[in-house]
Amino acid sequence: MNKQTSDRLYAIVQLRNNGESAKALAAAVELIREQPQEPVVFTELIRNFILNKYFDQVLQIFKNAPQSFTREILGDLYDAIMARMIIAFPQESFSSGQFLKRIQDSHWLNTFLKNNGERPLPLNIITVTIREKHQAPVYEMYTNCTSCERNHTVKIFKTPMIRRTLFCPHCLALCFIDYYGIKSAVQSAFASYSPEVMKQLDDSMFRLRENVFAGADMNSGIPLLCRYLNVDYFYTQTQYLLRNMQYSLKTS
Amino acid sequence: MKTIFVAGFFRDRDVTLLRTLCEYFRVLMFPDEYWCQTVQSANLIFVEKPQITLSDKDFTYEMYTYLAFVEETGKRILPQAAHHPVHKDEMLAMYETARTSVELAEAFKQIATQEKIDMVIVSCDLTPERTPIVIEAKKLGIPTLDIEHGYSGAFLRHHTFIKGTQRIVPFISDFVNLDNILEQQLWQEYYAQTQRGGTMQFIVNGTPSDVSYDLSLTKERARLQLGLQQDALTICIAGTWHDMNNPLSPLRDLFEDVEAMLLVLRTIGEEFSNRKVQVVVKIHPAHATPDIAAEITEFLMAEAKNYGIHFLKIMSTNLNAVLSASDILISTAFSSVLWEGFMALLPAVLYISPNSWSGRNIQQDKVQQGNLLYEKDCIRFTTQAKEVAEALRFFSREENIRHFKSTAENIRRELHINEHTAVEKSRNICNWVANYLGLDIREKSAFKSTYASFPEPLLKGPETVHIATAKLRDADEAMAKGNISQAFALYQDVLSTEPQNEDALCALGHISHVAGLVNEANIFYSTVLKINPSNQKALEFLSRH
Repeated sequence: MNKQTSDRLYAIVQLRNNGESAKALAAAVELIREQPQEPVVFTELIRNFILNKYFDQVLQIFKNAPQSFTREILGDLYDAIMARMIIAFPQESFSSGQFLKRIQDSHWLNTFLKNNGERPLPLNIITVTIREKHQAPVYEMYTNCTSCERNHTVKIFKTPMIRRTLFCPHCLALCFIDYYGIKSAVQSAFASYSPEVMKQLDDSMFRLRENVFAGADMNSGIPLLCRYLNVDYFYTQTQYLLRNMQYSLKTS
Repeated sequence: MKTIFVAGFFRDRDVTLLRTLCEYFRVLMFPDEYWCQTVQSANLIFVEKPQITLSDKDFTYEMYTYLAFVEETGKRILPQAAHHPVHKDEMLAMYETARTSVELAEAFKQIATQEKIDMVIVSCDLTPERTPIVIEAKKLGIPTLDIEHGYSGAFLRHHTFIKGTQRIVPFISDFVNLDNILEQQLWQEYYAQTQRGGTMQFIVNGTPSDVSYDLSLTKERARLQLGLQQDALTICIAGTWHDMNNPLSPLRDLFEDVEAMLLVLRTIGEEFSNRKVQVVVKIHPAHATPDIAAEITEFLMAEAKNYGIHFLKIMSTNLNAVLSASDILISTAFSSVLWEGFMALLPAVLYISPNSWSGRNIQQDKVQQGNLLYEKDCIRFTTQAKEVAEALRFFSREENIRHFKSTAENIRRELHINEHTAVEKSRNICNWVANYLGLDIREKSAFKSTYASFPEPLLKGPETVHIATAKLRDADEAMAKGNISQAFALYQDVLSTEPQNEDALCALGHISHVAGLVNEANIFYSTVLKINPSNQKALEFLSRH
């Protein structure tokens, strides 16, 4: 594999581990066109189809090129990919299904073998970062997979009102993250800021709004851009405050 | 002819207003493909945005003072935290918006030197697409009018809050057009209390939103339209959303909203375990992207099932149908939906979590004096699950609903709250603007309008009816020959002498529909139903759209 391919592959891995599996898939599709013979690129493509729950596409590829679905080509991910296909298409016959008889290293695969079914595994949330995007929050949850114990990021946009199942980008275990987990993680992450501090912050932000709007059409001490940007100025201010609050937590 | 510059009109709600403005005035706006296709009027002029070349030095200086202000303010607001300069990502996120808003202000200033602009009208004066124009217009002495669509008539007045804590987003325009007198009282008191606003005036001409309550839509038709059961008690839960204008929004407010929603669902499940009930959750349009709506749906469906609710529908659009289809409205925040529900004759329960900002700052014993709708029990204020349950029990009884409806109608009558359509409210605004600018309303007739106008019924007399009949025959003939544009003009002509001509309105609705102008068709057919509620063509169309 040349350096350029290796760099692009690395970027794809970064994307999917960073909660951007749709972008990772788009990049993988582009890369496979240029490197169709590269097993690592092929595996990454299949992995990203699965992360995006595009099982039909994987089945299509499998039917067109079953010789590509071997342990030699798919490497360590072979068992997980085949298990995912068996679960997604129980009526289909996967001749290489014999693989499941061997003892697996993977926790979720062993559970699947034992119970002939699976339950979503809860993700452990390690840290939470909150960012502003298009006037709304993005909760970036840095999580740990309880099957492979490796870390990856899950991004939740606009509202924590979710109950999301997803596949671990490393081992393809079925995981879940929900409102209750997010709430608990956010509350504990910012627990060191007392209610008094939060109230003071709230009041100050309100007074600031009053001042910015009141001074909108006069030569007040408020910079012209704050007045022009109006509510959008507060998105910058909020992002700045949140980042510094979080930075303080990490360094204290 | 007076010239109005308009900015920031909402595509989904301000079509009628813009069309009506074009009947009265010469209307200028910066080019916009959507409006260009939606409103065809000789009076609507898209003025080319002048090419603005911002001096890099000047703009850099503006950005520098802006970012320095963010940092300084941040240190003052949160002295406890470590502070690090504005991050590159934070600066870049705002860079394009900042540049665009400065260019917008400069472009407007240039236009204002070339054209005599008599008034600037914006739809909601917040946001960087509108504010720079309002600020610069005010500097140039051009009067500014904000069309506000907050429907805040169901909000509480200032004395209900612990002194000095009431918080409402302020306006910056010279005039703020509101929907009703309750809103006007609220804002005037608020501004008097905060000594803000200067010479700002609140005026009440009605809020002409295209997407609000629809008094002509029956419960049966609305349920049919939404795929709801006809015989189940239908409860609408309306949520809200918080943008990122305060760090507490993602840390606290968003979670409190979800908790409120869950408490309400649980209460409904417990209260109506023996009754056929269906819940419609109206999520805020800000959450309306399909992927986010799908995740909210999955979460709420699972929660509702746990509480024994088996029929739950999530809606992000069609507010008019949702309100018409429902029996009871529950809002988890002070929201415009409370007013819209009241206008749709829907009894409401407002649940405010005691942990929320509102819950902590409202003096509960004064809530009833804070707004007539609460005093007369049209909206029940609650802060606990048992109060929500009690309110639901109360409003699910037929006799209480009858009493509510009669009370609501009395309030409307006493306060002269109008039930005007968007067209009528738009005309009220135009008349007010014309009057303010010293324009004789009769001048309006000299303008060539491409949109049907609806003169007052007093014009109607035997002679005009006769003329209308002849015109209608001509129009029908043109239609039969397939000369659609001629037929359209002739049907409009019929309306100029007989504004309530059912056949002409139906024909215009049909032509608009065939031409793909569903909004227009909707307006024509809705008008038909007001004249004749059993008109089959109109019923058929509206049941499908």
